[in-house]
Formats: sequence, structure tokens, C-alpha cells
Amino acid sequence: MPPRSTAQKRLLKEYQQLARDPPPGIVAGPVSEDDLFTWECLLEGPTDTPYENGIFPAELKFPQDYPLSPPSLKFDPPLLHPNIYADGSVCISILHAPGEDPNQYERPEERWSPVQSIEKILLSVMSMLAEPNPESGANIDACKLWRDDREEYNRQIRAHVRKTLGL
Amino acid sequence: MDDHRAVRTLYSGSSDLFNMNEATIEDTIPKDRPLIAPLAPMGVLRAEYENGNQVFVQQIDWLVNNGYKGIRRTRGDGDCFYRSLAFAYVERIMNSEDVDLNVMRAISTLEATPQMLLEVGFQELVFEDFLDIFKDLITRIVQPEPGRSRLTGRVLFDTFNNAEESNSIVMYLRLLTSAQIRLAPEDFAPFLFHPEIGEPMETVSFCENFVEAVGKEADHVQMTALTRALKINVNVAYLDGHARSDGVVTVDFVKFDNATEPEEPISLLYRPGHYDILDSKDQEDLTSLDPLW
Repeated sequence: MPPRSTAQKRLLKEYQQLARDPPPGIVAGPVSEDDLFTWECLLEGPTDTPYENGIFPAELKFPQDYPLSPPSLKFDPPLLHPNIYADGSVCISILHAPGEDPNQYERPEERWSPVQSIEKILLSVMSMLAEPNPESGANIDACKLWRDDREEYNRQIRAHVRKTLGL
Repeated sequence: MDDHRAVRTLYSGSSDLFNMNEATIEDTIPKDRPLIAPLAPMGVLRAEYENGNQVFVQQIDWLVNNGYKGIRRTRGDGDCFYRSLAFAYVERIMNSEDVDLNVMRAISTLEATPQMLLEVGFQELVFEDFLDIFKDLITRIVQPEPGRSRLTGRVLFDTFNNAEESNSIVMYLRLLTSAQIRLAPEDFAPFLFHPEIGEPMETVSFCENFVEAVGKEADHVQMTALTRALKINVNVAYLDGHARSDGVVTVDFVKFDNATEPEEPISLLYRPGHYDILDSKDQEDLTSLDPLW
């Protein structure tokens, strides 16, 4: 067997740790043993939010130089949220390397560094679901809706949740 | 302690070092250099300043006259201090007289470092692979791994130009530097300032923003911490383009003396915003750079 790269070794270890001790509401792992660089995740909508009862699938894509560079995370199907682009890609600080700051507001300590982990990313995404950050809007329509008509925002998300549950 | 004095000197008297013409450096240190370049004679650097500030030229001549004949340049990506130091650290062990002893000493120092990182709260998972890469490289000086050659100048050069290995080593040194600063807050806290706005900073915030973050250049605090953690001596020559008030041109060295055994220091060259490696030789042993090693 060819020696595993640093990225593969690290991904495998993170997977083992997540499988052994999964954080509540989060399931994540590589799609196959042959491709450690693509992970499927299932995130439970946080309670007391309109996302409650939803199970949201997302895909993590890791670069070859992980953990020096961060992965990207995309909800599929896309999810209505101020910090999620219309195509489902998540825009939060922990997924941005220091130095790249699309919004010119992120502090380096919030951003990706190899001392972060997949678990920390997924936990950040969970808290992002519970508490949108309108300062760094990725989806302008969702931002507006969230700010101006919270009831409609909540209604649309609940409808999405019901649809994904097949109700 | 010398290193403390150096830190104090820095923040009290030499602010002009930091206010120098950054444009000069921007022009001469493009970001697309190799991570680590082959050794070159100082004349190459001198030629770049010949039409500019003549004090720089005289300082380069001073270095040559004082035995620093060569320069090994590193990419100006903000990681240059860590990368220069790591390269020079391994190279010096490789070229030392008692290789076995020096490899053993380095490995034993490095093997004591995970405890420091764990103590300040880094998970083993996030740093062990980086440390393994660094330790394996040093071990290969005396003990080739199956299927991999013994460490030669060529292999060392290639390893430091391989982004994955090179950046992993840089990352480990950043985490080690951070751990050292966090473990001795009383030594470092008075010197933790935001490099751009000059405001005092909390230890953890300083470490997260200006030590652990890739691409953030090291200053005296980081250099003091890292030389202490690695137990090494490092001399940094400041090429600042300033003559003394009496018109005499020399080069000031800032010394970080943290070796526990007597040893020659590693010599680095600092120009505002950038570090390279100084060498007493002015060219590479070309056989060691022969791809047919």
C-alpha cells in the first residue's frame, strides 16, 4: 500500500475520533475508503430554531494539503440561511484560511488553522444554523427575509424541513 | 538573560528598523521564489542594491568581510523566519562533526515538545503528523528509512521545497512557539503588541493571530520563544540601510542564546519584513545537488 499523505493520515484520525465520540446531532464520514477527501455529513437542525426536526445532508471537500488549507462545505440540497449561498455553500470564518477574507471583517483567530478540526467546523455550522450572522451575508434574499420578515423566514424553513422529511 | 535584553532593546530603541522602506523589500523579494533557494554568493544580493541605498551595499560588503559569504533565500510568504530556521537547524546537524550526538540531542529536544503543546491545550491529533515529518527528516541524517535515501544536501533542499513537508514543519514550529509563549506568560506578556497598531495584546489572542496563523511574520518575541523551545543559538543580522551617527557602516546582530551546550549560532539575515539564511560558504556543494544522488 502506498504511504498515506499527511492529509490522508489526518483525515483518517479525525474520522476515527468522530466515529468513536460523535458530537450530538452530527454524523460525518468519508464517502468511501478510497476517497478520504470527500465526506458526507448529516446535521440535525438545532432545537428551538426553525431548522428543528430537519436532517440536513452536506458535503465536505478537503484539499490535498489539508489540514494546512481548510475544506469547503456545501449543503445539498441548498438550505435557506443568511450564511449559505444559493448553491448551498457555507460561508463562515472557520472555512476561510487566514489571509483570505471575502468580507473584510473576520478575525484571524476565527478562521481556519490546522489546530481546528472537522468536529469544530461542524459545531460552528450547527451554531451558525441556530444564530445566523447577518454581518457576513452570503444569501442576500435570506438576509433580508431574516431581518425584515422573520415569520416568513421561519415558515419557509419549516416548509423545507417538512418537504425533506417527505411530509 | 540575553534574549530578554534583545526583546527590550527592540521595543525601546529601534523602532526605525520597522519603519524602513518596505517598498525596497517588496521589489526585491517576489512571492514566487522557491520556498528555499540554492545557496548564492552575497554578490547576487549586492547587485540588487547597487543602484539603490548605498548603505545597504556597504552593509552587505561588511557581512562578506566578516565571513558571511553566502545567502540562501527563502520565499517572502510570511513563513520565512520559521522556514529559514528549520532548514538551517537541520542542515547544521547534518554537517556537524558529531552527527550522531547532534541528531540524538535534537530528537530528544523535539520529543519533549509535545508535552508543551498538550499543556496549552492543543490536541495531539492536530500536531503529531507535523512533528513526525520534522523528526523523521532529522532521523534520516543517520538512519535511512526503508525505501528512502539518507539525508543529503539535495534531499534536504528538495524536502524544504516540497510544500506539504515544508509547510508541515513550519506549522509545527509555529505551534511550538505559541506553546512556549503561553507557558511563560510572565516572560513574554510585557512584549506582546499588535504588530500593526502597537496596542498591547492578551497572550492567547497574540498567539492565535500572530504566531499560529500561517503567513504571519515572526518578530523578537517569536524568535525568543522558538530558540528557547529548541534550545539553540541564533544570530540575526539586521540589514537596515542605516549608517551609525559617525558615518561608519556596520551590521548589528541580535543574538538569541538559548543553547544548553556551547554551539555556533545559526545565522539569519533580516531585511524589513523578510528573513534569509546566512552562510560562510558562497555556493552549494554541487555534487550534493546533482539530481542523480
